[in-house]
Amino acid sequence: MTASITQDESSGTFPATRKPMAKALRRFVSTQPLGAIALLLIASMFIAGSFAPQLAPYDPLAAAFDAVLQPPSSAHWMGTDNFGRDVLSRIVHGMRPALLLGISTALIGSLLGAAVGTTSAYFGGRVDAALQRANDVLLSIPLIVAALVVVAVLGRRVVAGVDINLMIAITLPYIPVMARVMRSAALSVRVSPYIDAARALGFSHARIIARHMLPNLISPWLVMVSAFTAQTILLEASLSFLGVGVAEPTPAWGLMLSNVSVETFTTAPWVVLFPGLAISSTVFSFSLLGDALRDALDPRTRH
Amino acid sequence: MLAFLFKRIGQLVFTLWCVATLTFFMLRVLPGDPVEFKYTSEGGVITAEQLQQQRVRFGFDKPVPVQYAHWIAGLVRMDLGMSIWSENPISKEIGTRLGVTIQLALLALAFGLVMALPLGIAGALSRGTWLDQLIRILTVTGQSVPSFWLAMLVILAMLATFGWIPAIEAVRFQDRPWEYVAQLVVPAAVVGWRLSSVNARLLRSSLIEVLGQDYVRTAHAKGVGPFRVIWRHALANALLPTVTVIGIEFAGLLGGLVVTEQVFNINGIGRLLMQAISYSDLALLQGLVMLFSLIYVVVGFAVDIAHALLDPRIRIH
Repeated sequence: MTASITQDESSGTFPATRKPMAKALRRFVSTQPLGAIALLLIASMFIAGSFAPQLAPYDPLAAAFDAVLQPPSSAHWMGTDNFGRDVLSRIVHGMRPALLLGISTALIGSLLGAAVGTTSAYFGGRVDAALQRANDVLLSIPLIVAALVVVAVLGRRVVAGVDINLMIAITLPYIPVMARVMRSAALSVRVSPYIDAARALGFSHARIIARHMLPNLISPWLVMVSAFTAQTILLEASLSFLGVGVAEPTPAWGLMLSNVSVETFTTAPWVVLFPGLAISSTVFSFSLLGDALRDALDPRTRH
Repeated sequence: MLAFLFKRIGQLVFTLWCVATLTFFMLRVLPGDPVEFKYTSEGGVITAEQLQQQRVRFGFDKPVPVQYAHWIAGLVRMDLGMSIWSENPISKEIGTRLGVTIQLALLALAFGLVMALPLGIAGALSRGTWLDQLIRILTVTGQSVPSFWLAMLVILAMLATFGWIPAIEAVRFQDRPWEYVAQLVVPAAVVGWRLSSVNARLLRSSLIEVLGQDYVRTAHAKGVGPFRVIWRHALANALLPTVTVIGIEFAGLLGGLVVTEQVFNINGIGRLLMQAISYSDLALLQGLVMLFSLIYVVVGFAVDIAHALLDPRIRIH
């Protein structure tokens, strides 16, 4: 689709449509109000995460032992935790690991998954069968268990402030899932007449995949990235909750919920209420966006 | 049918063998030595000689192919080896904890189906209206809320309304049956709620598809009541894909229990897994991965058989 638009513009046979992005966005907002709200929420989270040091009222790491477990007040809008740290500041800073890890792992995983899925669908036959068997094997291990095993095997390795092994642990288990989704999408493209035409013209496999299949797989891929970002954020939060994800003292939402005793959260519910709300609303926004994108981009459900 | 059965069993064994091989080699390529870790992790000191003795005891001194053959031969006999940390047979460690996890999983599965029915049906029937949007928000929320947080919320809500929460210490069924059940119901409902969101969305879309079929129109045309059309003609067919997906979801369900068991302090398989990780007990970890994989493929197998029995179209190929 993109290719044809640029061609038309360059040859000048079409009155160049200015800003097709803006037009698409306008249509998305009007037909998918829930998706638009999700998009707005995600944008504000990005802004909050980017300007965390400016926006957070306190240092997220500064402990104050004379102000532990204080209820929400005008000084601490979301109260303080058992170290006297400001919960709001920690949540604002926690946006960074959540979004960075969630989006990067979903992107990397979906690219690898798309590569495997498209190859599988394009070549079919034995290649497909072999890749599908490998997928079956990997899918038989629950996601979180697979992630935990990767963490246990690789341990921690922090490079430039990013826990590389944690990223691998979150990405790897999703690759077979993503490969499966992309395979079914690619299969429907694979049987299109224009692929047959391209083959009849004698184009190489690489060219057909790159020029004819992949551009038509962008919409399902986009839907998948959004939906899986929700899942990777949730997985990161779960791993952090279990104590094997983001390491202390980095403020991360899952970590804020971990090691909170029943006594603590029943007497000081704000300690768990707000971080959980942060996880839920972020995951919710990405899921809803994925949903809306699916409806907007899937030709079968578009009215 | 028999050929189908044999083919599926063959696939099942092959998958398990691949998982066994994968976990074996994954845990053998580790830089650290699990036996050494056991003795030195808490600041302990071990001489090279003692370490070698211990390695012999755990069978880590043998060449890798021999260890591999031993592992596979053990699996055939349902022997998963010995836990490095507790030094008990792994099958025994699992055996004492599997019951409670299975009970939780089945209860959660039941919750997941029962709660999904009204949501899925209402969503399909009110497609495009505000009710559909509301249900959509509800089901997306169900998939967005982390189970460990939902568990905390439920505990808070119970405390606020009843002034009571299920006991955190382990209760045996024989001693206090009601408390035992109460302890399981809350975590199962938490995990089940998430599952019901997935199921409800699936049910909605498959019901919408079925409602557009000719036989539904025929049923309406010959004067079948609307309730009966939905219940007998549409739902019976729409449930099939939902049931199939349960097989796939079961793995996720067990994964969800890993986290939930931590919150509710339930001594099940999830707890054991976290212990294996914190003690770096790779032998135990390996055994647990095998167990999860086994449960997954067996459930998938059962669902396939059920599907083939229920849907005559499957038997053709």
